[in-house]
Amino acid sequence: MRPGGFADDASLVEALVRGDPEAPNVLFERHAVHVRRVLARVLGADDELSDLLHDVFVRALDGIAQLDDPSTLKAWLTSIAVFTARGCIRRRARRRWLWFFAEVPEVEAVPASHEASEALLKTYAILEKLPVDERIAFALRYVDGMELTQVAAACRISLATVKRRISRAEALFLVRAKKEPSLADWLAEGRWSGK
Amino acid sequence: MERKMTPPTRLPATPLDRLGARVAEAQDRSLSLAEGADLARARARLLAHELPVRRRRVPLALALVATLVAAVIGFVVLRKAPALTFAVGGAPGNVGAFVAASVDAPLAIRFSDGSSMVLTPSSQGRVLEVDAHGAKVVLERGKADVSVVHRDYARWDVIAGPFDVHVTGTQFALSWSPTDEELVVTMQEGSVLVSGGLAQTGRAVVAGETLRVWSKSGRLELARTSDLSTSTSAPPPAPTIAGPPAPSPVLPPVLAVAVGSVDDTVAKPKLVAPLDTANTAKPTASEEDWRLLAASAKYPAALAAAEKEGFSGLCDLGSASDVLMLGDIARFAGSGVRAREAYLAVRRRFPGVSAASSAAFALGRLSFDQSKAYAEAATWFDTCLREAPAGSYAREALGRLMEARQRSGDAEGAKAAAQRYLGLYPEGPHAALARSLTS
Repeated sequence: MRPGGFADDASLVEALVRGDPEAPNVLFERHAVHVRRVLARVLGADDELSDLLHDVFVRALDGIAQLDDPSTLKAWLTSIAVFTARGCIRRRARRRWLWFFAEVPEVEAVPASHEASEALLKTYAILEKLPVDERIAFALRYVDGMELTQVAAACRISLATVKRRISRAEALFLVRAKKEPSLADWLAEGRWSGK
Repeated sequence: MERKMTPPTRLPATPLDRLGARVAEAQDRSLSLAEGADLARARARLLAHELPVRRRRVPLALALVATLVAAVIGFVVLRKAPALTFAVGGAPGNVGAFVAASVDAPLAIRFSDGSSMVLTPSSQGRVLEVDAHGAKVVLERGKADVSVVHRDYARWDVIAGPFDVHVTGTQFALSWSPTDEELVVTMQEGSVLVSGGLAQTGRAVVAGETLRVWSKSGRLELARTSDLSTSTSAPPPAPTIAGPPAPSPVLPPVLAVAVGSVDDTVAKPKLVAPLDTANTAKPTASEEDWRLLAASAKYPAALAAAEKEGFSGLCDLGSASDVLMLGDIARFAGSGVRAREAYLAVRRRFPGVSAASSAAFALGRLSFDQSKAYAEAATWFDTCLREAPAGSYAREALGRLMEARQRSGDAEGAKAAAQRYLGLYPEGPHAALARSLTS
């Protein structure tokens, strides 16, 4: 590894475009933890996480020449991760519908050993029932804690669209969450909108 | 993306923000468990230029027709894919039954998908579980040649002592001696992920490589099979830390650093992964560089030197104090990701010792100061206090716990911590804040 040679993302992108053999490794080292977390935020516990992480970086390496502003590398990777996760959700939805053709691999559940894990499980169980775009916006805003502008950039949509999606997601989430005792306590007080 | 909880001094966090923070905290804890294995596997595939699996799109009209046809067939015969079947030496096999090869002949376990496991003479095993996707097989002792046919969603595991060899489609030989606690995995095709025991976070082994683990002496070695052809199976007498790795034409640089050098010109494998500080060899001059630089407060340079040696590898190999120091170096150099990696390595590798609680405190500080993830920070400070209630970080951890709870919107928790703080440290640096929270 040669971190000194790629002191910032701009020089790293330049090296990737140039075809420096060390650059992909540095790209992975620098951003893999973040990308993996974004994938997990959107998908929840998922035994395909490692495969999807690999997919994101392959796509990034394929398209690195199209990155106009190297300083936005991290945001660009975030966006690829979001769209990779989105593709995964849609693919699984299709596969569930066409369940005759292939069995959907079971997603390994996180043991609900305590309150937080229970909240985690129930939250993602509800998110799975939401429309995919609303689900993604909600997960990025509330679970990952992104600002609305960051959600918009990650989803490549306008701020107004993000607000609409989150508003719909909140309403849908609320209806279902109220039926879950483990979530009801969290939602009992205060106003709903986080915008 | 670092969590950005809204501190109470600006806007009150909404219930959804708080729920999200708690969910993120639980998810991060869960994610950290498999982080090493996930990253190692994805990195190995990426740097081996493996292409992602392309999932075919099914045109809607075709899908509808196919669905109708399949529905008819499916309800009749294909409601669920059947579990694999297997035969032992030609006779139908039984799940869970003990299987032993005679002293003079191998014994084959053959599965209905074409996969097989051939026990060499005197070897023993059993098929633990079988389903539609694969099987879980145990090698009790001896050696087996394993061939797994690659299929979508194939899921095969071979258990040997504390080790789990996870397979998707490959050929390899595996041997396990429960007496000597020695594991050898020799890859012929494809790749496997070995986890458990000394390979707790997972070691990817690819075609042409051999992984050897001596559990008793706490040593692990990954080298090219061709390099090992002249060496004995016994571990060399004294472990040495591999120096800076030579560029490898086969292994990606970071993987090579993490598991030892695979320099073509060196026939003898290099040992890595000592278990404890007692077994750690004296550092070489190049290894001292990052320590010396850190001692001179040249943290960015120390981090660069550690990166040159392979930061992840040092986290996997170093003593508890060294890995803690690596975390501090990274933190002072501004690399939160590396700092977190080092501190998590300490917690993973040295549970129950004081270094682990120090690492918990450091992780809390990282979450608090850099990520502004106050709920997560509170969990780490709480962990530190629980593990070392009278430790050197106890006062600071309790003060920070109070502050982190306050900022994450946990008013009751913050008040409880404040009362505890005032009881123990009425003149402490957080006493003023504690009084304001309890008044």
